[in-house]
Amino acid sequence: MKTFLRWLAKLLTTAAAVLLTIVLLPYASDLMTAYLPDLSGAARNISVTLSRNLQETGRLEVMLAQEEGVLESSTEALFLGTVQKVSVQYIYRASVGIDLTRVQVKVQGRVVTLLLPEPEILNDSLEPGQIVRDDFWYPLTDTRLQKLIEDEKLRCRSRYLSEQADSSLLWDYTVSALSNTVAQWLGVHDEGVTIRYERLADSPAYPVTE
Amino acid sequence: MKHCEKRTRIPLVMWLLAGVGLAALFVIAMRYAIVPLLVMLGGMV
Repeated sequence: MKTFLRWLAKLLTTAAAVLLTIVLLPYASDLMTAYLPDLSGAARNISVTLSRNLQETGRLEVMLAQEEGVLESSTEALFLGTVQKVSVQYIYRASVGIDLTRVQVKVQGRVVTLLLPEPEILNDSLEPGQIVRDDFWYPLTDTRLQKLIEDEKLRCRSRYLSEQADSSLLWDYTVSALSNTVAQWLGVHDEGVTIRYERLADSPAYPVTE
Repeated sequence: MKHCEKRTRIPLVMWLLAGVGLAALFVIAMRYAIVPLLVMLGGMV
């Protein structure tokens, strides 16, 4: 009986060890590439090349957004009611990208990690089209029209950013665009070095640069 | 001696011109003075 129990314990331990090995196997290669020393210095070389190219390039455009809309405004006067009505058709264009100078490069073993800041609006414009005005009693001045257009641009920008903040699509585009760019910079490199993309932890959510 | 009072008649054209002038004056005053003032007051209220 004692021998049987010992045999059973041995069998269960072996089974547990084999099971654990099978479960951990997918993570093993990652752990090995991360912690094995980079004897050839390939990861270090790649990180230096990347850092230099990132600083030189400055900005990377990830996505171009275009949106059509109608800006409507009316002005009320005391006792008279509406004295001015303006309707402007417009096209809003925004170029979204990342500031490459803020990208941090981290090397751990044979893994190069690029820590990316959040995508931001690199530049945007609001192009007015047809303007319909009903302003006989209170003529629309160019200054007011410009102010209306500028306000609508700010509204479009904040609306666009709040829409994008919830979706991970922009992040996917960013990673895809940057990995293509990095592939162009490095050419063909098959030296066992893995390049990873992660979010920069302290980057503010969707800043806007002018 | 009978005194004959002479009245000056204003021609109809002059009346019309005066009317048009007054209307124009009203429109200009409304557009550039009264309505902007009312808009400003409306914004304050």
